[in-house]
Amino acid sequence: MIRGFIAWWHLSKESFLILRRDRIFFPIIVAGTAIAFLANLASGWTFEGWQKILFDVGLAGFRLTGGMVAILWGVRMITDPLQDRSIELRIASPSPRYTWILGRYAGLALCLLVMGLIFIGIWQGLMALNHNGTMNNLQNWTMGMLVVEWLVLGAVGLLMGTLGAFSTAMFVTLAAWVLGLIAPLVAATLGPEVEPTQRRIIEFVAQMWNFQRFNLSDQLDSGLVTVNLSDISARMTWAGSVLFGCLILSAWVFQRKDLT
Amino acid sequence: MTKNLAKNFASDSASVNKAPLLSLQGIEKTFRNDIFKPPVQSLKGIDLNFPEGACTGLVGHNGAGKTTTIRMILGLIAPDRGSILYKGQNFSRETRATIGYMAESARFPGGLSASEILETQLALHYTGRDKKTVELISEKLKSVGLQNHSNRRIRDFSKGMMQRLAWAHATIHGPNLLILDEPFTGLDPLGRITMKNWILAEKKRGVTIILCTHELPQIMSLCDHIQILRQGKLVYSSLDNKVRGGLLDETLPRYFVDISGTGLDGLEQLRVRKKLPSWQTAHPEGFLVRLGFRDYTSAVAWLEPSIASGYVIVRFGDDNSATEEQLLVHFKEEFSQ
Repeated sequence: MIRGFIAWWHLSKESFLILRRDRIFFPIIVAGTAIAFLANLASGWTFEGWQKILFDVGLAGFRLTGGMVAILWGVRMITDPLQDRSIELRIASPSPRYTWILGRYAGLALCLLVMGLIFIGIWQGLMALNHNGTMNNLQNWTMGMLVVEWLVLGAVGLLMGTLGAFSTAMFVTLAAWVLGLIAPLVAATLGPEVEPTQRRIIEFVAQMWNFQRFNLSDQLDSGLVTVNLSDISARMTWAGSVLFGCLILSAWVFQRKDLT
Repeated sequence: MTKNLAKNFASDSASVNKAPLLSLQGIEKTFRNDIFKPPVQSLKGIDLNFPEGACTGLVGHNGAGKTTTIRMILGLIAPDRGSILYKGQNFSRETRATIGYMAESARFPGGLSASEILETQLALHYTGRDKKTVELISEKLKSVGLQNHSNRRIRDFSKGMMQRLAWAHATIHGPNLLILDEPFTGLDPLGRITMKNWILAEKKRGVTIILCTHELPQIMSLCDHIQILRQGKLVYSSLDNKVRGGLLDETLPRYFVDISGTGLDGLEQLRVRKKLPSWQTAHPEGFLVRLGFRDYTSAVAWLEPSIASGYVIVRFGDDNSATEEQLLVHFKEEFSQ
């Protein structure tokens, strides 16, 4: 048990270092910072709605940047070592394969969390500089939930990476994300003319695969400043289920995969 | 010539009678990678034994099933049928910890450093160790000549440095079984000699070695046994008592040292003075003398004293062409597609 934990810890550390030193890490930080500065600049165009502009523009960039990176890294965490065959050197060890999968994910999650913290820090700095204050409780949670979305997307990418080649896995994960974003919007706008069967299917997908759960912008727009904890815990439970489901499935698939 | 066939891979040698460290019994594997293509049977019920403490060469054409066999031993591929036994038992985690593996053209994550790679390797192979991890890593990197590159990113490593690191990675945990897949690929002559010396040192330590390579002369000089695969079947094993006993003409030298700066007389004086091993053949060729030796250690013994006496070693190595030609003639049937 302890040996397994030590192996997992080292694999996690190795995965974190691989991503932290990845050539795209600093460009992402620069891009995320630039988006935050631009959103801040745009928020200065109006006095009344500065917060809405700042968060609408800034969070869209924040969400897209982090989401894309989470998918890219999640898929690459598996397909890169399979492609360059470096996986053989790690799997040909006494540690069970799932240790490697869990280590890969832990490293990815840690790197995404670091990235999220850097961005949130930059946002706090901008708020303090230009608006003489810090982000309120709900604003912090809004950003935090988007970081949780990155973690879930990373797990979905990891699963797809164990199932297919890089390009296929990237395409499927991106499609799954888009589906999760638009399905609830489609379900909410269904007209009375839609057939009951179609309606049930769309509503089922929207219920089961709803990435709008990570979006607290509506609450921000309605002027709330504190978070509803029971609402957050429901959202987090769904995120946790998807995340652990993907990890368990990845480990199960990977355990049975022939590494040819 | 057949009268003089040497017992290179002697079927009656001590290691044949030893219980195998590793044995593969009735291994079959079929790959179904593409639903639009018929399945490919890669291994067709092979039985392989690898005697403890011996170096066994696994030889065959591309697609013969060598790499699939190695990956099965490492647990990367599951056999459809058959069993892989380590000392007569099924593989356990503890036995897996005693295996070292050097992959063909080994690749490591470019963002990591050599010491980070080795640290993880040690953590994954949790064998009982007296020394601290840092000490072990530092000693190993020194032994492969990478002590000044321990913190350098792998992406900046040359091919030769990568092979050195791959060797360190395969051996740092002190394995009992070493599996080497094409370890000489991409190495310059000096690198090949170094690699050969490392393999010989591990062999001397009593490590069981499986050497998978296309380079027949390397097999000849390093291995105690040879097993040839063809189209997923074992077609020759020197462990089998029924097979031919020897392979090469013993009278032919297998290693040579080209020395310039003196003639045959000078070399004879040096041999007597330094008590060096006798050469098997000596041919003056232009400005140099080519000394031929049957065994590797005799050839190596000449290098340092010759340089110390002011002579120049122009070339040193295997007489590859001769060895390869002899092997191919001898195994004509086994190697024919």
